[in-house]
Amino acid sequence: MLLTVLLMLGSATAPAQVVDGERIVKASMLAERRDYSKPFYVGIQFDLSSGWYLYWINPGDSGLPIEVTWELPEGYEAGPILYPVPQKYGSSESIAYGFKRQLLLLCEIRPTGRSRIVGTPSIKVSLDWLVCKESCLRGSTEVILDLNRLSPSQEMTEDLLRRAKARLPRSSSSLHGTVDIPEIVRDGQMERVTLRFSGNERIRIKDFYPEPIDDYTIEHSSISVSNNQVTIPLMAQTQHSTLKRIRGLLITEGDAYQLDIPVVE
Amino acid sequence: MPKGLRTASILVLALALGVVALMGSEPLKIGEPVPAFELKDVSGNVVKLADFKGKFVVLEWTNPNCPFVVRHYEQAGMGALQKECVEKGAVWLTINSTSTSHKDFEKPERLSEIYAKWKAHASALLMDSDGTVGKKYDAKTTPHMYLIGKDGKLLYQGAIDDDPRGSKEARVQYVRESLAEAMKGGKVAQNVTTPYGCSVKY
Repeated sequence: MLLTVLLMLGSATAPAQVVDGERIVKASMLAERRDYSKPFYVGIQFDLSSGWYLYWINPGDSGLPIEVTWELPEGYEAGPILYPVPQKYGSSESIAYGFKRQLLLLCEIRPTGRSRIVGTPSIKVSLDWLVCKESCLRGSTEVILDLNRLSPSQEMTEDLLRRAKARLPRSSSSLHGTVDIPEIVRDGQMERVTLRFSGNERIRIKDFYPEPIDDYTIEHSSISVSNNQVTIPLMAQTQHSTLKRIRGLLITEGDAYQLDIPVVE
Repeated sequence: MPKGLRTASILVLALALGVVALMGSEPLKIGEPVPAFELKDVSGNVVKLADFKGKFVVLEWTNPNCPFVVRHYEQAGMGALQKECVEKGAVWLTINSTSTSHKDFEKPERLSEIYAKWKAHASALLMDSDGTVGKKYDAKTTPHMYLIGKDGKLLYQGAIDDDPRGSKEARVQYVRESLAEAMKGGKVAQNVTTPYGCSVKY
């Protein structure tokens, strides 16, 4: 089978990866139209061909997260990349967390106040990704957005920003419940961490999508959820691995909450 | 209790507990014997793991249509690493668990051509098209690496190195380091890492 893969560099809208004549990934950037001496949001948008998906910050058992590298004008800094809640794909052999069709990553760009801002800034971002369907392809591109010349399709309107924010996970402070101190059961290098929840949300818990954990390998396909608890099997990578925190998304019926739970060994 | 009834009871209990995990296979444990296997190589010869008792054995899961595998062979020196390990006395078995129904599947003769062009130096290139061995080992990615000791026990499993994007100037080569530690008679310090790459196309 001959796969013809073309990847070109672009400006505000980067041309797509093309496989056998089919467009796979199209990356573009959007920004709020406003006074850029104050913090503002930019969005990195990926439009994907049917069935193809990009990966979340934890890709799961395989895959690769998107790498975002900013090149900002002097006097600005980028906040964290804000991911919407991913979908879970996979089988009993392999789990993947990712996004199909369209993905909009949000990021707040902030004036640092440490140097004077001259003129209207241009923003450049370098993107590196793995996109998969049946098979996988690596891709990368650079996108430049001139904030002085935003076209209508490059403008992040209030309505678009509101809808993008609505797709982000909710803060744990809005979870009507509490999390007990995690319980850890060890069997050699295998550690099973159990998170117990109490409160109104407990009967609605559907899943937990963990973020990567330093020095541990997560057994994603063995994460189990019961009415009030989530058990996450982890393989310690060395005898000296120490579990400090569990971060991830608690998936409930219709919502997702960003959790960051310290673990006391 | 009859087997069918017992299965039904377990299912009811699982539902009652509200368990929703997909319940994947358990990973192999470091220090425990690895599953025995025998597979045909790309020339049709039967290769048994048991034939290599008394030697260190490296297992490498592969798929020549995975971009990570392509990079490791074409740019990151997989063939040279295989040669180095084999010259030190280890056995290197490259296993392709891609299903015959998957678009990434390549016939044995084509696989042989691809890996010859890549100057691979594995001891054998094995076909596991029904995925039996891959699933026994819980192989998740291509590449996914395992190091087995002379006594047939697992010494290391995980990534080939610490550079998933292939962008580091200096990378930790886990297989080389694990084999060196094991050959010196010591313990492998980092005996598990998170493998990276494409999913195995079972």
